[in-house]
Order: sequence, then C-alpha cells, then structure tokens
Amino acid sequence: MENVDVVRAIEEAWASNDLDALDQYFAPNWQPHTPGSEDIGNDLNVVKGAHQRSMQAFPDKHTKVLDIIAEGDVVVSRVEMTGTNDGGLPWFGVPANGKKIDVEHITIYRLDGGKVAETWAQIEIPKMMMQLGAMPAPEGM
Amino acid sequence: MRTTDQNKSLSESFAKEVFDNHNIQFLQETLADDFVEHEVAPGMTPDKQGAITWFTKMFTAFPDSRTEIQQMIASGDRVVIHSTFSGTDTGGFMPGAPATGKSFEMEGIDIIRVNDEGKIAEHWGIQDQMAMMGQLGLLPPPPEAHEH
Repeated sequence: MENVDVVRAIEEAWASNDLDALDQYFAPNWQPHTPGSEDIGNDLNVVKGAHQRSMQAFPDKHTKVLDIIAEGDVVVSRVEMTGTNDGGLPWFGVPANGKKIDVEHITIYRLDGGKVAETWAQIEIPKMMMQLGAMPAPEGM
Repeated sequence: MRTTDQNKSLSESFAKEVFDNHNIQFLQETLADDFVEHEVAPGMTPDKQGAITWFTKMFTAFPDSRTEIQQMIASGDRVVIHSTFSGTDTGGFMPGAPATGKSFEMEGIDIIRVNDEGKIAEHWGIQDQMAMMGQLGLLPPPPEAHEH
C-alpha cells in the first residue's frame, strides 16, 4: 500500500465512522503534534473519543478531502468539514443551536514502514467558533 | 515544466524575503496577477492586492516578525510549508486597541500552488491563531461573560 493510499484510507475511515479500521494504520508509538493534543500522548482512543463527541455535536457531519500532497514518507491532506450543531459542544460551552459550520483542517502525516509515525495538524478553530456564535466576529466580518 | 525543487526554493526565498525581510517588492513580483487567497482575514479581499495590504498591516503590527520553516513537502504544482511564525505586537495588532507589547510564536501549515511562470497562484493556510491570541492576551471572553 502506497503512503498516499494509507492516508486516503485513514480519511475515509474517519469520514465513514469506521473507527476500528484506523488501528492498522497507526504505529504504536505514533506521535501527534496537534494544538491542544500535548496531553493526549499517542492514544488513538482519545482521538476516537473526540471524533465521537464531534459526531454527537454535528449528527450530519460530512468531510471531504479537497487536496492531497505526497512526497516520500510524508503525505498532507486538506479536508473540509461541514455540519449542523444539533447536539451541542459542552466542552466549548456551546449548546445545540442549529448553526452550520464549514471549516477546513490540514494534516501532515509522516509514515514509517507504511504506518503513521507522526502527525501535525491545524484546524480553523476561530472560524468554527464564530460560525457557532461562540466567539464574536472581528470588525469587518 | 517546473520541478518541485524549484518550487521549494521559491518557498524558501518567499519566507526569507517576505516574512523575514518584509520585502513587499518581492511579494509583488512573486504573486501571480490572478492570485487567489483562500485564507481570508477579516476585511481582506481574496486577491493579490488584499494579500499585499494584509502583509503590510502585519509588518506594521509586528515589526520584528519572522518565520522559521519546519518542513516542506512538494508534489506537482503544490508546496506545503509547515512553519513557526513569531513576533512582538509593538505596532498594534487589534484594530482600535493599543499595542500589547507582547510576543507570540505560532505554528501554521500553508499550501501554495505555483503556476508555470513560477508565480504563486493560490494559497491555503491554517495558523494556530488561538495560541497567538492567547499569548497576546487577546482571546475574547466566551459569550456567557457578556451577559453577566
């Protein structure tokens, strides 16, 4: 399996909520570098838990891979996430309010022997908070 | 046909000239005339002029700002740049608010598309703005705080 196909399979597993399929693609000592993830270590179950909570918040959640760039051991995906806040995000202090989000995230995957060894990710958190009505939009928006 | 090495080299020059040296002339020469910006800041037009205006504002707000490239990944006409952007808010970052005088350091991941003429034709990017706002002490309070 080419590295780019591993990442496509990972994105597809998240998109279809097939979380058991993810385990085979991550090395046991996988190291994530996502803002806010410093305290989760490399426990994929914590990330799956966060995914489940976002599915509860946005029951109609839909993700789509918009771009994929691969060079050697590294694969980058740019993914769009849309959904409606019908379930609430209590960890952000946001109740269910029917507001729609449309944000992107970019993840850099470094693979080693066909498994993900390291990831770096960024997501449009401020944009999402504004779309949820949880953060005031700056002047001019 | 350009090589990915040429596109990486362009990205490095852009980081040095624009982000470190605040060279607006280089920015003007490097962005394609039909440049499309996908990471649109408030009040910014998603085009070449909008990008020039945005960089000029950033350099005024953070006169010491610079970037450090952590890694680059290139394929086809795309380059992904993972970098750390840092600076000090001595010029006033928030409109209508005084300069905080505080420093910040934030990571970001950018993607550019380079056209056949070697100009940057499109840009996508996500920066860890929450970290930056937090370090500058500019994170707005949650909505509940306004009501009580």
